[in-house]
Amino acid sequence: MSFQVDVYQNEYLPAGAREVNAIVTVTATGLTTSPTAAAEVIIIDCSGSMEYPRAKLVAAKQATCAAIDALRDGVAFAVVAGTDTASTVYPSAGLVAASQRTRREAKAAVQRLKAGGGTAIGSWLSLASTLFRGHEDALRHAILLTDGRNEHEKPAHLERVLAECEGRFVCDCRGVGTDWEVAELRKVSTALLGTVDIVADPAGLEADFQAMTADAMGKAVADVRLRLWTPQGAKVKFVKQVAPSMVDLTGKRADTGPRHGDYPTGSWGSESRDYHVCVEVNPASVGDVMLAGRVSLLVGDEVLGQGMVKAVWTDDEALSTRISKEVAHYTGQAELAGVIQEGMRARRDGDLDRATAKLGRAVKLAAESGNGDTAALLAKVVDVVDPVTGTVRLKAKVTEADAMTLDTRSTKTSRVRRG
Amino acid sequence: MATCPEGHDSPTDDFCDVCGRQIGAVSTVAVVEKPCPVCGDPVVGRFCEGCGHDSTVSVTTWTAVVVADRAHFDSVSSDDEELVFPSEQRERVIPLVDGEVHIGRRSAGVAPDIDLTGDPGVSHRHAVLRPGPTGGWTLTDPGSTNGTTVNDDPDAIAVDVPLPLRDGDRIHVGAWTTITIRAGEHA
Repeated sequence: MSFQVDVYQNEYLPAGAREVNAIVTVTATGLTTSPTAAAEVIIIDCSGSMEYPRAKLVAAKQATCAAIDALRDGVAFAVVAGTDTASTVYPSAGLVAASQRTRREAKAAVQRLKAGGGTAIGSWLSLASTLFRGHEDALRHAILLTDGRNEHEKPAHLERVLAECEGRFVCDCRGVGTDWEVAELRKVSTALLGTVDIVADPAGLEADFQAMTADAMGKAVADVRLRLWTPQGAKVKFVKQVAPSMVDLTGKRADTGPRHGDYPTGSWGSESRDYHVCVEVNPASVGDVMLAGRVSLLVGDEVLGQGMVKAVWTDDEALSTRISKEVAHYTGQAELAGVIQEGMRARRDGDLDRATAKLGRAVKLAAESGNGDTAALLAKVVDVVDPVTGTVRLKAKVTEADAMTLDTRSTKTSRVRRG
Repeated sequence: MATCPEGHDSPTDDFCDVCGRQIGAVSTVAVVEKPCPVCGDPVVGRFCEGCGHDSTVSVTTWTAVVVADRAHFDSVSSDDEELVFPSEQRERVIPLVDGEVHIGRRSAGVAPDIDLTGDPGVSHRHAVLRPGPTGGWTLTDPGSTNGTTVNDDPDAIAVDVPLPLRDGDRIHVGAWTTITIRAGEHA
């Protein structure tokens, strides 16, 4: 397989300028059809609150069974029950290869689960990490379902566990109901390069788990790294995944040499993602061409794709003032995610003027960039008077589910418009 | 091992692995822009700033190539006329984008899209190219004085009846003008 790397930028800079921006589109091509070794751990919240309403635990069991059914034969898997501790539901130790028999036994064990106890997400992830030991060569994926806040362990403990688990496995997180904390689950999914979403109605869990497992089974290569080389004296301002969702990778850099470092991108199937790279370089003279960044995609030590980010200094203002459409689009999407989160925080804190201003700006950005999904979610929280100017009024009555859905999905971006 | 303009040794031979300067070249690289196949605006990135066309998607673009055509001139002119075939031949390529493309001679300061001023056999409003219903283009003669012929057919096309055009069709108007229609796939 290989990665096609396309770079979109305006490489022309006015004399003396330092900042170079580029959107790097990475598309995985030529994936092998032979199934890759995979390991899956499904973590379900079995805290006491899962019984209120009872439909939550029933739906979680059904969803877990659907996920088990979606596993390919031979995939190593386990089911973990999470409370204020973590315990294996099936098998009794380690992971087991999926077969007709093990799937049936696992589903029977899941059906016997009872709710009771607290919520300590860090201990659940610790157990998952232990279970993945010995499967380092496989695609490692976990699903984490919770309905509440991480109340039964110190935040510092969760932080420590996340640091340990980073790079060990990819984890998609789901919050069921509206009693969980968006920021908390986002922290987990961001650290573990997965997605986070709300399943407000437990009835939606089954389809969601099935889709998540199918997606995990569709991945063909694990632990893909994005290597960024920058010239001497340059500073990497940020590296963000900007599509399909906004994930800041800047802090995840691991230096691999004097002028390059690696950013983890997790597992890949047949898919395409966009990254925004921003580098500050020492300006050269007008007319000079400089390589401001070399972006490589690596699996192990093998380079499977490469793209170049350039800088050319010019006196021609017609060239240097041109704004790359791709860079402008994703700069707007990053701002959109930020103003939604700030606006929703202000709204919770009772700062209604600030909330109105931020969410108004969000409505304007969503309309301008054609992000219809986000615009629809915003319309459930504010009355839109004029999307062009961003004039909005906060709705008097907003369901908790709508507010949390907007917050959770704020990082979902629209892809740059194709002509 | 390559050496860059700054004197660094570099294992990469395109740009210096130390400072990023281009190896071997001191000169400025030419502007990497090409015309958009749809609207003709200069495009630098993937998307056209003018019309939003995605350069990775292939499209069929239509163009009209206008020439003074000796063969056409010989076939329509007779000896008693004092017409002189223009010595200065300049081929013009006109991209067909959308809307109506008028063919004719300039009148009262209004220039048609395909301006054939100079060819005395062309009417002010001689013919019109319009996008067809299925994506191609059509030719309509609204009633020009000398008529319009297509390809090798000596008879003029019917007035006010749109004629669907194909790649390579030659439209003959006036005393010497031939407009060749080109349809091509472009990325």
